Amino acid sequence: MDFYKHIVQKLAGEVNAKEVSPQQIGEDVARRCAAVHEKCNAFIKFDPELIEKGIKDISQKIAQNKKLPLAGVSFGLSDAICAGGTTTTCASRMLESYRPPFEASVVLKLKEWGAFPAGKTNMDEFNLGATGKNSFFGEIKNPWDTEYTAGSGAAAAVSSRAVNFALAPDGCGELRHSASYCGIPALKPTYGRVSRKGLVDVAPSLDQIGIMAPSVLDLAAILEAISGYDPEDPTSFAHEVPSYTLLLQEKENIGPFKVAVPENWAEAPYLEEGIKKAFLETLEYLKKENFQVQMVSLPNFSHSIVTAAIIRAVEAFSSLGNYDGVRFGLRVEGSHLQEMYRKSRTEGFGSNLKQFLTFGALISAGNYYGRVFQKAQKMRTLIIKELESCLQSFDLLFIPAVPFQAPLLSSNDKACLLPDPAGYYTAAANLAGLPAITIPVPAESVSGSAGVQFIGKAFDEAKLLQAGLLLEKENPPRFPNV
Amino acid sequence: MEISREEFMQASWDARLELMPEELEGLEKQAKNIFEQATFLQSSALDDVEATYFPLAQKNTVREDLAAPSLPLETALSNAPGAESPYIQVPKIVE
Amino acid sequence: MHEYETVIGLEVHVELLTDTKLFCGCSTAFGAEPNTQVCPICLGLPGGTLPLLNKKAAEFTIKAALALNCEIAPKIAFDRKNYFYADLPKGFQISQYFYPMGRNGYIEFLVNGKTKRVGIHQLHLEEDTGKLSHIGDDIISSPSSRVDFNRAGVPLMEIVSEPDIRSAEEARLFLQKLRSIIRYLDISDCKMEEGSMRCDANISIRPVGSTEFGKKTELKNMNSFRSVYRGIEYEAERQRSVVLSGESVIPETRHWDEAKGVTRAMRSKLVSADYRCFPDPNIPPYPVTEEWIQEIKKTIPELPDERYKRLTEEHDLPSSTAEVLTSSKELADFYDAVLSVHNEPKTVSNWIVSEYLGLLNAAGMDITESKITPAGLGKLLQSIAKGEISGKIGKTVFEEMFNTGEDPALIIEKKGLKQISDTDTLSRIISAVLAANPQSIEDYRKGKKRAMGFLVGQIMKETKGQANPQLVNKLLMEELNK
Repeated sequence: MDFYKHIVQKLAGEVNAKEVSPQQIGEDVARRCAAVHEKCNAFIKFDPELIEKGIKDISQKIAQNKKLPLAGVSFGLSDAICAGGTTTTCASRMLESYRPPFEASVVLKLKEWGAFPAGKTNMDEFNLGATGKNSFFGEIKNPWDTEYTAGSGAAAAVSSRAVNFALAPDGCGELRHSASYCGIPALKPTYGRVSRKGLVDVAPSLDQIGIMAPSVLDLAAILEAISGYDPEDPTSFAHEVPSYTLLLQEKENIGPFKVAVPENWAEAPYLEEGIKKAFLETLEYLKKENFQVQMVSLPNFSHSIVTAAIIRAVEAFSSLGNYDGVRFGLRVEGSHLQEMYRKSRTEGFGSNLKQFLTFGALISAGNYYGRVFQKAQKMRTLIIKELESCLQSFDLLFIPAVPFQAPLLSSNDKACLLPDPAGYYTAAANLAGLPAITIPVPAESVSGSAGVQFIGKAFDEAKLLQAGLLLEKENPPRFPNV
Repeated sequence: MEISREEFMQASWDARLELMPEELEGLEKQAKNIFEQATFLQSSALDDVEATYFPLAQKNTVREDLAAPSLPLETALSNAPGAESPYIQVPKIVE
Repeated sequence: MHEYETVIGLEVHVELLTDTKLFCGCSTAFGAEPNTQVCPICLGLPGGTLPLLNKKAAEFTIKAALALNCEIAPKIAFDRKNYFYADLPKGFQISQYFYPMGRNGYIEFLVNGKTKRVGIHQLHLEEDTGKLSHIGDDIISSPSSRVDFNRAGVPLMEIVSEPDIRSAEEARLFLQKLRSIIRYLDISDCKMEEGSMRCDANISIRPVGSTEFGKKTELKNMNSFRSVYRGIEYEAERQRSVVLSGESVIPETRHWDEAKGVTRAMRSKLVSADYRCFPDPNIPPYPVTEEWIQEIKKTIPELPDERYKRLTEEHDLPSSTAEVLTSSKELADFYDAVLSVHNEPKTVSNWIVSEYLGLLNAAGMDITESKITPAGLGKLLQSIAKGEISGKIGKTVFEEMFNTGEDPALIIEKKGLKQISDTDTLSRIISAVLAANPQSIEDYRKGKKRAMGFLVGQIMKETKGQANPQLVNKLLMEELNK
């Protein structure tokens, strides 16, 4: 009964061929999800009925001999993404009972293809970080060692193989951070590659839905499923969706790639020795594989996380302005309207979120708008220009994923939001809308791995996947026992 | 960049949030931290640079003026704490 | 003692005649049950708010900007105006702050026979808010309020004039002209009573000859042309009294109280002063090409000013008649249509302005509800011109046409109203009348001219008013002078 270990295409094949039944899968997934929820608090609330409903739908279709590309494939869905038949809370008290009357476009697509959501995964409130400590629904523990954070329930669920993959948002790198903490690959697509319809808005010019999976091939298969233009998302692009899985099967044309490394990469605050070592070792491996590695000067790259934090604070302040207890959400009565707003929002939002939103209100007001917010948008232009210029002469940028391994839940020293030190290497891809992949490589850490990251040209996810596959071959992924 | 306690309090008021004293302190510390790190905010090197608001310079699409189904009344009110069908009730507007 | 002049700027909001809202497909139809024309987008539900721009709304706005002689923006861009209020579902209004669709335009109209030009500062497109109703009808005393979001998201065009207006009368004329132009374009029905046209005024006073602006107040809640007139007059007078008593005008928002005929300060600050406008990250810009502008230009009909010119210069109509005819597109179109049947501009215009408008006003009817067709009136006027009926009879026939919609020829036939122009018939009747009234013949021969009028009256009575008056006079004179 090790079908849960199969890559998604193989699993779907088995289900379509009726070698494995949806019911079997359902029971197995339910058992595994219950276990990871027990150990890591991976879900907002574990709901076996959600699994049952999903399995029922698939069983019907299979009984009708329908062939579904992702038949029986289970996924964790971050609770920032709307799905039917359950709540979408963004891990906030404000949305504890919110039941959206619609589903995210990506969820609809996946269901059409035969996949089913196994549960809504836990996260930092409104995805403002991957600390695992800012959820109204409790801390999110690392399946490798519960003293440490998992960063997100999605990463915990995928790394313990409770689900075949997970979808989670990435605003400044949270998807990639938590995947690195748990030792699994993750992909943030190009901005607009995947529809954001159904993803709760926080920072619309930075946010994207990304994928976590046990293997690069799985990432490719899911990316193929969820990519494409959505008329309900005006920021999505109509670029053709290549067959990523086919491209990965081409043994001949993979690499060698020209890879750029920012020369001051080691200046990241909080950079740990273990991360440094793992990165340098991987660099050597790439050189051995005939990758052309070169140090490049990207003077503004180091400003990415600060720039992104400023932009995100303003966009979030604005985008969370609809949380007022009128049409949905927590309502705390007040003697008049504005007092009701104040009380509802103060009680509904967590501490970190409130501080972050206040900062956003501050730097968008009066002359701070020009001195801080607009200046950050100008710095954004410089960072984008630098990256694009670099990627004209190189295929990929190569950098670590996070300066440190999964932090201890009991420690507060990296739990800052302004800026989030975990985003030092990841925020640039959000600012520029470029795709990025993180791959676990061996390291001395709680998960036995550290994340390394490739950033590619817009809509060039294929190269990211190819480079990722190459690294993965050398470093097969490892999974904890749950 | 020196930001006064009053400015923080005004900002929290504008955001319809009441911060506890320790939350205000925490915010002040973090704000100080980010302004120290964001050295480019002081420089004039960015003066002639254009701001970017859309990462890949995308263009919008438009839709024809054709009706799409609205939510049934019950569904529209289903999440509203103060629903008094068919309206949504709010406390008095004026202080 | 200084003479003070009043300085007025107007802000007019116009609801556009699109079938659906600005950013979603919900219907804009008036009068539906509350909250039945809403969806996740216009209701501001988390995960559901990606805005989808209505092309027609954009076209209507560009059309208006062209008709008001504005410079057109190079792209359609939207910004967020952030504040908290019960009728605002998203916590921000999507509006155009940085790139209004049109700028630096003007409207011209006649004031006491002279042309006055009022500048249009800008014209832009934005979302309307929901509708608040208060228990007890008064926002200030009401214990609670209710919101209907049907109107939230309806496309609204905002037109801001320069402070070039100098009196309540000029304000009224400005609004009339603006409404006329917009109705000509068929982009809004501009009915203040229904709320599809709303007007706020910014009023200040200053000593005559001064170029500096005095402190201004914003006046709201004027729901008809008459209210605008009265409100402005009252406020200007109030400000005069304040200044003359040695005080300064407090810059504030004031509310027009129609019942009491006064303006009142709005005691509470309903809205935060700083809107923190920034480009909406969910709405990328949409290019406005020269081609598109030309296409839209072609759909603009002959506008009131051009029509007025044509009527006064080519048709030689007096200016007051031309003003009345061009005040509404339907009236002007009707005039042109009648002319194509009976090409006598002076006659046609006189009939329309006195007879037709007289009947319409008495019945409280709008021309679009009338049964009279241009062909109908044209034929009637032809009959009169040919002498088939007299002008006096013609008016009777016209009234009948107005009430029944029947063809004039049919009415003339049915009621036997044909003018009697047959010499033999008339001679017979004249002889008979003369024979019956010998005293009158004597009176006439004695020099009493009034006797002639009496005899004509008798002849008309005999012929039920259908005798051709000119012929009667001629024949009668011949008889009497025998």
